[in-house]
Amino acid sequence: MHKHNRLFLLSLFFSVLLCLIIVRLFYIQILAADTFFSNNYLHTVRITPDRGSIYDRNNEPLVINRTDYLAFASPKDIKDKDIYIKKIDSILKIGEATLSSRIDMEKVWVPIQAGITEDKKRELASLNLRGIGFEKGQARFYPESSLAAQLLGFVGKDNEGDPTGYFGLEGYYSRDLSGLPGLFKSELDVIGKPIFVGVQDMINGENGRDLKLNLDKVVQRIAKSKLELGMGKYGAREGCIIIADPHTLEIIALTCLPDFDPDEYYKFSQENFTNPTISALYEPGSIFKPLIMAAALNESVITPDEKFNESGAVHEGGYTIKTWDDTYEGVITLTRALEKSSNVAMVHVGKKLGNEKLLTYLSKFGIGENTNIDLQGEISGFLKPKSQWYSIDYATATFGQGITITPIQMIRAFSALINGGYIMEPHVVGEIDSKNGEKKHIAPKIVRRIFSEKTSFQIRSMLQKTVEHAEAKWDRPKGYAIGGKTGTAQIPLAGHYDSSKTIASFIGFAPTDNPKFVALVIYKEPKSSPWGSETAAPTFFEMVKELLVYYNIEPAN
Amino acid sequence: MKIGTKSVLFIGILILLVTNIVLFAKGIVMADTAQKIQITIERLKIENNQLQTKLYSSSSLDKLDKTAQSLGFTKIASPLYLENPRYAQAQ
Repeated sequence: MHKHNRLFLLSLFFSVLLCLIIVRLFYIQILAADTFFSNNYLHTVRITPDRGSIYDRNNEPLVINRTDYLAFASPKDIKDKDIYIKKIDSILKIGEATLSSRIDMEKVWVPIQAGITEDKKRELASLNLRGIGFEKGQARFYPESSLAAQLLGFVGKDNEGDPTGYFGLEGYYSRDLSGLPGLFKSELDVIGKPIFVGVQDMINGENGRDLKLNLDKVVQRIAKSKLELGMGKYGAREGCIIIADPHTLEIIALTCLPDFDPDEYYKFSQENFTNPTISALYEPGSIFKPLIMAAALNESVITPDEKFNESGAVHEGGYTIKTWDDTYEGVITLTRALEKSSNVAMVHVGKKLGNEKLLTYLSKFGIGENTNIDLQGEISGFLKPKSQWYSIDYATATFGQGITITPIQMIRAFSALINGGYIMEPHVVGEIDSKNGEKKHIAPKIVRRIFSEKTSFQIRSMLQKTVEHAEAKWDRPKGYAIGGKTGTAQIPLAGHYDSSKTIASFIGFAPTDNPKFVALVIYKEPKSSPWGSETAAPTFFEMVKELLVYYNIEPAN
Repeated sequence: MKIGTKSVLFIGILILLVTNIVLFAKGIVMADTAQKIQITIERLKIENNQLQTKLYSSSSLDKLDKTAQSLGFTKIASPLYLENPRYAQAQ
């Protein structure tokens, strides 16, 4: 009996224990599953994609990635804070006080400094300090430094701390360059080694795509060095040079000053980040005259040898329009009018063209229209509606005042003069390459045709004579047929023009029979001389001498 | 018969046990090897990147310009344009 009672009690005890276990398991697995479900051995790692690189047309690198590190402190492992700070500061040199304020001994993890190079990391590691660690990261590296700063843009952080491109190509192509992150789930044991029989899952990401530009690094350097010399020599406030292939409008070089160092962009004013060639409007002045002349030729209302009596100033809408030097040569051809940059002759050409057609051509040139260049920050400007045009506006438009354009719009319209009449879409990038071998070529795009081949030939001839018979004696390379036009535009200020401040420019191309390149040089507010013929033109010809040699262009004769 | 079945089961379980231990040990070794290879790959990637950076830096136009100047290679200001190249052409 007793034996049976003991057995019963024992069975009852174990049954109760079993029930408790079942109840507890039911609670853990069903009722409180969310709280308890976690696999402490499953590690999920985000695979950061490599940002795409940027190369020039000859596959020379302009922007690549380099490995850098974030140095961090584990304050709980630091034995002596003062010695720790002294040793680290002997290498990083950011100030002991700064370091001391950053290292909060109550925290588990504290960042010390980001952007540390491999060499610096090695030096810090050699200190054998407890409580210091490194997180691998990626930074941009510019082998050519600030050669094409505004064109390239820079990489900063977005609101979530992820790298993102700003301005220029880094901004415009940020998505292509960023790629897609991947995910790696792995079960690890207590010492961090993978458990192969456990979960090992990978969601493949995609590294960023590389950009191959139409830019030529050598031509870019030639342009930038000439611009730097010119800025110093002429004391200009700002300057830009654009060089393009007039047939395809591939941008071969684009540089502006002042610029910034993309490696340390945070040290520069935000003003320096914007690219004036696409983000600033200006009145083009006399470099616009060939466009109006070509429009009139295209409409067959004038011929290059047609005579015009340049007898004196003209009056329009209550205003007096004179030549730039207030001298008049009497009866001259329209080609001569372009050579001497006669405003009064241009007013005559504008009248022959007619106001309606003038406005139509301004629209065809792309004024007030985005060029769709692949750079972040383009503005289109504004072409006021016909109802707001007065007779003086039509007159001044013929010599490039009273209308505003961006430099990229100007070079696009001018290229149409010399390439057979086609308005092209400008492009900086020629090809986008994926890491899986896919290549996306960006072909030249015709937007519209605005001139005939005959008009293009005529205006190229006229522009060649403009250079050959220029009043200013430029140091031109002998034996080469070069065409171009100077421009000196007054800057509007609070409803009137400031006579002391100008935008001096020159736009030109070579060789005239089959232009290999077109280049626009602009100086804003040059101090040594306000005239384009004395500032922008010499810079253009200095640059052209080097370009003719670089491109192996033979002399015409 | 009963003894035969028990022996078979015993031997089977023994084999499975040994196989399990061997596979487990191999798994640990593989995991260790995989981790070492991963560390080596990371190190080589970093070295590769460093070499690439050094190479591009050394061959940059800026560096070449400075090196040329320091070695006395001055810029040729402009090509000499022959107005009457008959002697050059005669050769």
